[in-house]
Amino acid sequence: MPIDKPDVIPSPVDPDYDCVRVGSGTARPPGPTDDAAPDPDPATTRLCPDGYVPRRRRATYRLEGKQIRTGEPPTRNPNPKPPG
Amino acid sequence: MSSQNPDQNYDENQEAARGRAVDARELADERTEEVQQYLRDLYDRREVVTQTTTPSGQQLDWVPAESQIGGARLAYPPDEDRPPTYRDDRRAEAVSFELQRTGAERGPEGTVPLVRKPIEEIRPGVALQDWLAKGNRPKVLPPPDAPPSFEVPGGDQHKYAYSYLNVTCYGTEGNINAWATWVEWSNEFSLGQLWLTRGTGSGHQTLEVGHQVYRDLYGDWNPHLFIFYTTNNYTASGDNLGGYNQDVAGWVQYSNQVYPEAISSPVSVFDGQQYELQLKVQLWEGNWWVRVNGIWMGYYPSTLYNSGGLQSQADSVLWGGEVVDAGDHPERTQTDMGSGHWPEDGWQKCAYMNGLLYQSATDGTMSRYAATAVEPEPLCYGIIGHFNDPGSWGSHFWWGGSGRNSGCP
Repeated sequence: MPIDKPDVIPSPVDPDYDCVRVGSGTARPPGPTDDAAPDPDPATTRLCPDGYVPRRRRATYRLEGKQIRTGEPPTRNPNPKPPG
Repeated sequence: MSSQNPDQNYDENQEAARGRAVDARELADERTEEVQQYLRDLYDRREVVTQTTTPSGQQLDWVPAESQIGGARLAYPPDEDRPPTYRDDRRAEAVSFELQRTGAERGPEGTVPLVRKPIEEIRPGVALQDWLAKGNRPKVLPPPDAPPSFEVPGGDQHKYAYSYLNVTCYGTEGNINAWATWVEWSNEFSLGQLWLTRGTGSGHQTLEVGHQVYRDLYGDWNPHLFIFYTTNNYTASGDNLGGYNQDVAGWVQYSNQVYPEAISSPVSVFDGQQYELQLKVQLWEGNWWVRVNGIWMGYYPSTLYNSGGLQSQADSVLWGGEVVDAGDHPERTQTDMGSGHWPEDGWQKCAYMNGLLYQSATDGTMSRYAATAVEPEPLCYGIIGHFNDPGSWGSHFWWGGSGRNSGCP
C-alpha cells in the first residue's frame, strides 16, 4: 500500500528552505553529465531528502544587506566610463 | 604482496567520477527547480487580471489593488496626487516612467502593476555553500564618522557621501537629481536615496527610496526607481522582514502609473537639461506612504516595524549617495556616484539633492533639513552641503565622484 508523503516538509538542514515533493516530471534531462562541474559533498550540501527539491523561503536571490549574491562571476559594464 | 588489477582501479575511478558528476548535476537541477518553484508560487498567488509589457520589455501583472492585502480595505493617501513642482532658476524637469507616457498600456481600473521577472533570466547561485553560509559574512559597520544611529550593511564595501539629521520625524521630502550613473561591475550598485531609520542593534529599521543602477538586481545598466526596507539591521531578508521593491512581501502598491523597479528616463545631460526624482515619504494613518513626482505610489504598513523601530516615528532622516565596491577585483572600483563629477563642479555637472525637508509633526508640518554632511573618502566620493540656504533650493547639497582616481587609488 503506497504511503502518502507530504507535499511540503521543512528542510532538515536549513530553516530557510522548504522541501517540495516532486514527481517524475522533474527528472534530469537526457544528455551527458557535466564532468567539469564542482565536486559537491552530499553530506553537507543536501538540503532535502530524495524525492524532494528545495524551495527557498526567501527571495529568488540571496541578499546580504543590500547586496545581491548570485554566486556567478560579475560581468564588467560593456559601456565605457564617461569622460570625467 | 598483493596486486590489484589496474583496469579495476580505472573502472572504480571512472564510476566515482560519474557519481560525482551526477551529484553535481542533481544539485544544479535542484537550484533551477527551487527558483522556478519559488516564482511559480509567487506568481500563482497573484490574482492576475491582465498582463502587459512595457516598451523596455518589463512584464507587468495587473492585480486588483485589494488582492495584495488579502482583500482587506486598501488605505488611502494623505492627499490628492499633485503635479510636480519646479523652480524658475536652474530649472529641472521630473523624470518620467514608462507607464506615464502617452499610449502606455495599463490594466483596468482598480488594478495595479506588479513586476513579473522572467524565470529564464533568474540566475540561481552556483556555489551552494554560499547559499548556506549566512553567518560568515562581513560584520555590519557604520562609516567611521557616521552618526551613532546610522548602521549600515556590508562594512567597507559600501562607500558613502551622505547627510543626516537625528530628529524625531514622521516623513521627509526632497528632490534627487537623476543621472544614468555608470557602474563598473554587475555586482556593484550606485544610488542616490533617502533613509528614514529608527532602532538600535539588530532592531535597527529603515525605509529607503531612491534611484539606483544595479545590473544584478534589474538585469540592465539603467537607473531604476527603487524602494528597500529592513526590520532587522539588514541581517535577514524575506517576506515582511525586508528587501527590495516587490521582491518580498511588505510593500502595498497603490498607483497604476509609478511602481518600484520602473525605469527612470530621461535622465540628466552633462551641461544640458536636468531631471530629478521628486520624493516624499509620510507616515499617515498607520502607513508609510511614498510619493514620487507628485503621485502616491504606495505604502509600507507601519505594522511591518516594531515599537522600538519605525512603527510610529523615525529618529533619523538621511539623504545621500551610496556605492558598493564589490571588492572581488584587485583595484578599487571606478563606479561613479551621481554624475561621476565632483561637488565643486556644480549645476549641470554634479548631482544635487535639494528642497530637503523633514516632517516634524504628525499633522504634516514640514521643517528645514538642517543636516550634517559626511564624506568618509572625499577624494573618491564627495558632498558639499548648503543646509541653511535661503534661496529657492532650500536645504540642498552637491554629491558624487568617480571612484578610483589618482587621489583615490
